[in-house]
Amino acid sequence: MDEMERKRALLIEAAPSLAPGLYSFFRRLGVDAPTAEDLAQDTFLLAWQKAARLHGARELRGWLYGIAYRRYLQHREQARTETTVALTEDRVPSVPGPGSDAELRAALVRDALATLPDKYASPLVLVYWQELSYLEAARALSLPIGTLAWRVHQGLKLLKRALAEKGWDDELAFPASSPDRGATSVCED
Amino acid sequence: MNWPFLRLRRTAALLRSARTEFAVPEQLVTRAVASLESAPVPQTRRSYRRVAAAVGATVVVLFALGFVPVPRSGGKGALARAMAAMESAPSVFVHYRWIEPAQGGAVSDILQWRTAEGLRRDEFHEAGQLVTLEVYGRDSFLRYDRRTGSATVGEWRRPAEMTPLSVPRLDRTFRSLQATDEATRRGSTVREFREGSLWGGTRDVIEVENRGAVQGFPGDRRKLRCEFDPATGRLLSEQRYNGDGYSWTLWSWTEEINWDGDIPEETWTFEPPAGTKVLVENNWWSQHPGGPLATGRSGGWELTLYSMDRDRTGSLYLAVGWRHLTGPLPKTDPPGYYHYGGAPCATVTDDAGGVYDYHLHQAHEPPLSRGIGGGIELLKLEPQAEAPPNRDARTVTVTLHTCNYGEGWDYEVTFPNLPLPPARQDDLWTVQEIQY
Repeated sequence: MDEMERKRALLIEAAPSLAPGLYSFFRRLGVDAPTAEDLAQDTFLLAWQKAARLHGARELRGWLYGIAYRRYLQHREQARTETTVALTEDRVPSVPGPGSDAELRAALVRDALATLPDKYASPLVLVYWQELSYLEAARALSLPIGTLAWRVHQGLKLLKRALAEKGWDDELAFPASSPDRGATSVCED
Repeated sequence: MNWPFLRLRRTAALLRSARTEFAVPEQLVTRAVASLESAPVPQTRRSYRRVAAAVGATVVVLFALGFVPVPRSGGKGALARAMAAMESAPSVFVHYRWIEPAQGGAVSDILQWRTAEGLRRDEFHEAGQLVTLEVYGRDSFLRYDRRTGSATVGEWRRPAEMTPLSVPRLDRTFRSLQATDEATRRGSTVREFREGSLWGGTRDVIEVENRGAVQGFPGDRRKLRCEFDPATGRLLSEQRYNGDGYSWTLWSWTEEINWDGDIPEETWTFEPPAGTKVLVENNWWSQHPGGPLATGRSGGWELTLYSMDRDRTGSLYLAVGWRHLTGPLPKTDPPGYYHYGGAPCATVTDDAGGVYDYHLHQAHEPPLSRGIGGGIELLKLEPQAEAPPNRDARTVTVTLHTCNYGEGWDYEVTFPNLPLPPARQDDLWTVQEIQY
């Protein structure tokens, strides 16, 4: 088996674990369900066409998300898709049901995120929603890891400000949560 | 406490909690895997690089083989092979072309036809117009000059034994090449080598470089480059360059060379335009009745006295033939000086003490090559003023010898006690003029 065939096998093997995440990634970026499915599939095909640049399984996820993100930008440019998150019928209510406080709060956060410039929103989405490490996110966005970390930090500040502008009181409504995964992920790789 | 750090952690947690989960389509993974399995192996950038490198290398190799000649062994002796090839060729046609800077870069042409029978035709064209023409046919010759509106014609009778055995020289090329020995002595660089390329094949090359301006061109260097077929030795092309020490400029080249081609019979005739002044040479001497008066050999040459006549002033006219017998002609001193292929001069004394000196000659251009030399000429000898012809003289002694120029072809043949012919009253050196 030559090198390209080994990379084909690697992609096929990774598809079951990564394809759903890519689909959700597109959906969270506001892409409708059928298009997100096509984009996810496109991402794998594009990855296969560029497979010569893939140097190992360890970098696969960040590299794949980089392809997905550029494909999303391309799609957005073509379709002039608005970046606001569309809540459609395939959304799985994670925690409480529609109309709950948590749901209203999540909608508020997504609206606030949508107001951020893309350079800050994308790192936040990749790190906090797609759960990529800083290294993976930096690879996906083709950024130095220091820049990525700074943008995450700056993005959170901007998000906080945007939430405040929408009337969110951080002091009163802070929900208990797990430790900041992004803060520690720099050392994961 | 209101720590900014804590507030960002809270914002991060809030963001994480706002993540929406989506139901993944059932066929998503299946479709992705299927498309991956069926996708052809892509031409990756690395592949492109490899292909590009391979294509580039191929282009370079082809370019190198095709357009940049590669030196090869076996080029020595190209000139000798070329001369031998010229000896054996039945016919050749060459079209030379060059640029005339003095005429605003107009192009001039020389067209030369040659056959082993000794037939030849030379045309010189300026800016597409015929300027001069010479035809030496089987039994006549013609020289035409459009600038003077005149032509000289005459009959051409060549003794059978003088039949040339090779294509006469290609003046423009071989005169230069034959002089390479002398050129080398004068500081020229002469190179004989062999080179090959994919498209051009293998060629023998002779290059002669020396200092000297080409009229009308800047620079003080000249280069002659001749290419020959290494298998046959035949001339394939000739180029002449002018140089300034940094670059060469081509100013003369061969447009066409055709060996062994069928040359139409009409090539050996030419009808001058109406109004041309035609001078008819009386070449009685080349068909003088009677046989050879005397024949002798010396230094590898055969010299023949075909006829001897005397005019009313006492001058003698000798029809003399010469022929190199076998082998290559000896080198001359200075080397490469090829005059009439060995044409003799003559000294005559009579039995009454009179001495006759060479005055002028009229010769039929002999075939000239390195291998064969021969021809016939009419020598006019006038009696020395200090020793006027003695009316009582009855016999003469004729000595044929090499002329002073071109030492190295040494021969001398003396024919003693030849009867002195009676004086002829007709003009022995006449040219009749007619209006065509």
